Amino acid sequence: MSAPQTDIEQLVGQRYRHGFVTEIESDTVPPGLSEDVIRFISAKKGEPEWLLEWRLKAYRHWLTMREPNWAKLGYPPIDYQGISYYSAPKQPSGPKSLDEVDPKLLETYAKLGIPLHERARLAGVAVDAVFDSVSVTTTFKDKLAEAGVIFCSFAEAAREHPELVRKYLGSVVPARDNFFAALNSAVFTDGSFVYIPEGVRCPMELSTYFRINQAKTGQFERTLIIAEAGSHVSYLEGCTAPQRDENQLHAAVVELVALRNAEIKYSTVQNWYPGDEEGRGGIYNFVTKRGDCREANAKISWTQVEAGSAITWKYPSCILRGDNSVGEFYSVAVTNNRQQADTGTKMIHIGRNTKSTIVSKGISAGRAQQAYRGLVKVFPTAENARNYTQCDSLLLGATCGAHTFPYMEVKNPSAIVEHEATTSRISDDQLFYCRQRGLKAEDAVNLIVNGFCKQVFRELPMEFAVEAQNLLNVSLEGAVG
Amino acid sequence: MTDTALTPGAAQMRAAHARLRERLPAGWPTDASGVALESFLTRGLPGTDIEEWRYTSLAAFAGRLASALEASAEAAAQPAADPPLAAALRAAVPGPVLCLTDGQLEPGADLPAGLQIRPAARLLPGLAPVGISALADLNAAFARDGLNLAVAANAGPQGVLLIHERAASATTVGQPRVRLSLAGGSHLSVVLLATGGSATTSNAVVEVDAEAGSVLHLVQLHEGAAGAQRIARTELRLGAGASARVTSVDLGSSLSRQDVVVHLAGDDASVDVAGLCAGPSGTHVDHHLDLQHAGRHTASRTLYRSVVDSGGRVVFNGRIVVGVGAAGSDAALTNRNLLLGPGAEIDTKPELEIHTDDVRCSHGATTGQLDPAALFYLRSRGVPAAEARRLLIGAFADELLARIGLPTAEAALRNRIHALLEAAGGLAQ
Amino acid sequence: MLEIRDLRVSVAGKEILKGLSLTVRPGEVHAIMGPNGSGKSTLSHVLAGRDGYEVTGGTATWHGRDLLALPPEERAWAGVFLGFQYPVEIPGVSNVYLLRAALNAKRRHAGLPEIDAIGFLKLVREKAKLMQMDESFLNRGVNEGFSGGEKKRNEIFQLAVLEPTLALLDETDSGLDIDALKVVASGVNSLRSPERAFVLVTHYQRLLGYIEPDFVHVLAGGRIVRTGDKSLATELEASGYDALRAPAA
Repeated sequence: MSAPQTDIEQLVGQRYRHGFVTEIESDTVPPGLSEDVIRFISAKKGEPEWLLEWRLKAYRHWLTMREPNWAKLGYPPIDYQGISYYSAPKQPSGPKSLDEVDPKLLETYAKLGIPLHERARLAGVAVDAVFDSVSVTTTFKDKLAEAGVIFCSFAEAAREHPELVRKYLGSVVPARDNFFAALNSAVFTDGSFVYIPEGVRCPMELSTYFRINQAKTGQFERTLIIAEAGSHVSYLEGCTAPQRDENQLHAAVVELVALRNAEIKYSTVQNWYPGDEEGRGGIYNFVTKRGDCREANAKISWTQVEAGSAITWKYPSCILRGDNSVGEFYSVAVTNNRQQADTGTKMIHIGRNTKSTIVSKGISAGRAQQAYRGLVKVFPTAENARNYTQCDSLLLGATCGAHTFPYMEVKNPSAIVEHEATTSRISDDQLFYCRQRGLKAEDAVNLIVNGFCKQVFRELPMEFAVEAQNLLNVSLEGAVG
Repeated sequence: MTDTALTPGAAQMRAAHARLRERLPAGWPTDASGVALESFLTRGLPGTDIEEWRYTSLAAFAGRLASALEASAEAAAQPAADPPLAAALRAAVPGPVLCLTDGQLEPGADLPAGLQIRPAARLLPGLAPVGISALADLNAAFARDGLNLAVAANAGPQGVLLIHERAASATTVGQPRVRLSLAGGSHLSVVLLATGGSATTSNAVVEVDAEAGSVLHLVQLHEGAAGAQRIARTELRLGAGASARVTSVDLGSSLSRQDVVVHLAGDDASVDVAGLCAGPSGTHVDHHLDLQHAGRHTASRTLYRSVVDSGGRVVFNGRIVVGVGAAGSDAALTNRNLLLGPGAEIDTKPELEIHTDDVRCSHGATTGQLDPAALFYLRSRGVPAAEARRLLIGAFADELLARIGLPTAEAALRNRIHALLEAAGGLAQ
Repeated sequence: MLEIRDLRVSVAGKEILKGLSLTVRPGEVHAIMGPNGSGKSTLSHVLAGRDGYEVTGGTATWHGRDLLALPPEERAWAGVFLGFQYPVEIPGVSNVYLLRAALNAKRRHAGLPEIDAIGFLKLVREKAKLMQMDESFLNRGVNEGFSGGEKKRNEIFQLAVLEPTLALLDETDSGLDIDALKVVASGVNSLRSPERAFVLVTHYQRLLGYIEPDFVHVLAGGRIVRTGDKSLATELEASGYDALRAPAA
């Protein structure tokens, strides 16, 4: 039996729910990129001189770089002079509290289901919300401060904690790392900053919601998380954008630093606007995310659910420098219609006894193209390094594509590196079995797809797991038993 | 972007080609040769910035090519002494032997009925269009002879034919070219043995056109001397219902690059590909496999293994592509690698590129070392450590060697692998 | 009442069932026996609505409803349950989740409220006990990593939870050791009731030593060639199927 096409389309083809535009007055610079624009951004943020210099150096280097073309992605050339590099909701010089935030903005976040107000208190999640280029509010600052945790906008961190920012900024993703990272380094406007002091277990989950609102703008946020020795933090990130016919660029950089015995868990549900059925509009998502297990026994775990964006180019990675450090990557990527995703991870084993696990689940439908691209690299120093990679793709329909490109480079004879991958469609046997038990074909597909993704969903914090499963239009599994 | 520094200058290449043309046999398609040269010159040799060559530099190859172009007018000297394995293998293969010395076919072999040698001049143009592979273009530009073997329709199994590709002297550069044409329903079993001298360079092209329902058994063995450089591209096109079994065994040299490209063009075509790469110290062995499923219900099975010693490097790239319309395709690839000592390196990349949903595709790759539990077990039974390692490496290799189907050749290869690894200390770890 | 009249079914152009007729009343247990390739599995698959079978003639109704016109899930809602010969694995989907979804789909269709979590848990625990299944089975993926015997036991467990009115058990005894066979048989026996009919498709007489059928049919060459009581099964065991083919021809 062929999988009923209409059911599958309903499954992955739900209408984008976050496509509305907020009518709000914005400060937006005219499109174009130059040193003056960078000076303008830096001045707007009240940045120290060294940071401006850092940006300008990145910009000058970026001018010498070429956009990478090795990914399995096709899109018309991006006009970097056609983008506005700064857009901020107009409000009097940064809100002191939620009461000062434009109610329309709060309404926007409420529509997105983001708990900024009292709901935040109930949910126990501290939230930083980034609207176009700037952070609009960060909740729970006081409670976090008691624990010594710093959670604020990047701009604020650059002003209030310059020594930390200066020490760690670019230490994981150097400004010259790649084309998009260099662009971000030059023009990043805001993002979140997290610092967990030694021995502290962050008392709540930290969360940032990113929203692109303004037309013809790009979003270039920068996130920096530092977990001092023995500390622990779980960080969640969500992204949405309005439905527009144009493509908008999102080029973020995320840097994580985990010191001795520290653990960082970073979860993403990416639901940027994916474009319409014909591939009009949608976000170009070119993101560099990298974590550095800088000292012994550190652990960094990436979990991502990538459902949105017209184009995704993203490889959250771990540098396993410290002995016994652990890197994990759990990913579900769903592409439909004309979406394209080239995503995966890099696990760089440098320290002894370092371990990494990669679980990637790709679902491709419509005319979408999806690639897993991964690198496992074992240096001669990485005695007893271990990697296990599992990479499965599910194809829904005869016109989509699923591709797998794992690179394994092993230079230590005591290492064990294992990779397995499968590609198939939903089996007729599984569908018939579920239907024989009384499930409608559509529900059967949901059930099977959800089961396919379960290994990844169970790595997500509960709040996000629900959101992720809703994205796949399935009810919560495991509510019973 | 191509690293143009790798390629000898265009003027030098053209001059060498002009000299070659003067010596080409009558009837040689100089047009096709010239087209291939120009195609090559537009891009030159691929640099490590080209994905397919990221782990293998052709810098040393380019150097030898440049100096050889000056000397290529010289007549061939006496063939270089065959490396240790060659004699054993020649003895092991019962059938006729065809020798390609620096790409020149030596006369004399009696072929069984059903096999026919066609004029070498018809080797050009090649089956694949120019521009697909710079190395294949280079071969087509500088080849001046080769083996063009045809199997008549429905010709039954003929025993095993040995093709020995070797160098005329220890320093020559060859562009060997072989075409095997299997007419509908025919059978062919071939061992292609490639040997090289201490500083030989060769750039081989093997083309197979297997028409509907034909059956090919191809074994490719490479034993280069330590300093030999060999690049080879084997490209098969399988028609409807045709099947091929391809086994490559590479004992390594300072540069050994083997591409195996299989077009499963007809419906129900199938291929079973396997490879064993040994990477003793100082060797660089790179095998690229490209399986193109185009017909419906096509099947591929792939098994590659490698054993790498300290100071050796093996690269494996196994790509499976299922095209739009190749419904019912079934593909599975397994790659296992053993690292025997410090400084050994494996770079492996299995790839799946799937463009339709009615497929079953999988791949798996593991890199590790000899199983310590098995080693301990053998030693606890009184087997000395080196012997135990030898046994386990032998077992690892045997499944692939057994595919050759010639027990004496298998034994010779096994011993040679052990000797190479022993010389480098791989068994003593 | 299951009424099959002159059913003709082809697979890939080849006729497998060649005019099969059978009547099964509620409360009855029928065994369908026959040699390999006689069409036993085809019969159960066609009744459950598996794709790939072409019905070229005849009818099959259950309580007067035309089964052959319904998609598989609606046959399930009408009370048809197929115990698979080779139950498929569905990784990541827990046994109980599938069951709860199936049960609620059926209840929704019948206009009943969905079963709540507590009530459901109580139900499945009770049924698991009946099948002597460890509770850990409930939360494992559907048939994922189960042994052959565990899969068959799981099928009967699902039967117990879903409470169908027509249970088609396709070679449920194959691959079972004697202990598992006894558990499966006692499970089936405990589920016998005046409303529920069973059709046991089997190659061997073995299962019928534990589940006593009301009727035994011999399927050969796509037709029922003989019908009798349980003694027919014993006779078959002794004489083999070959002896039966002659009178049918």
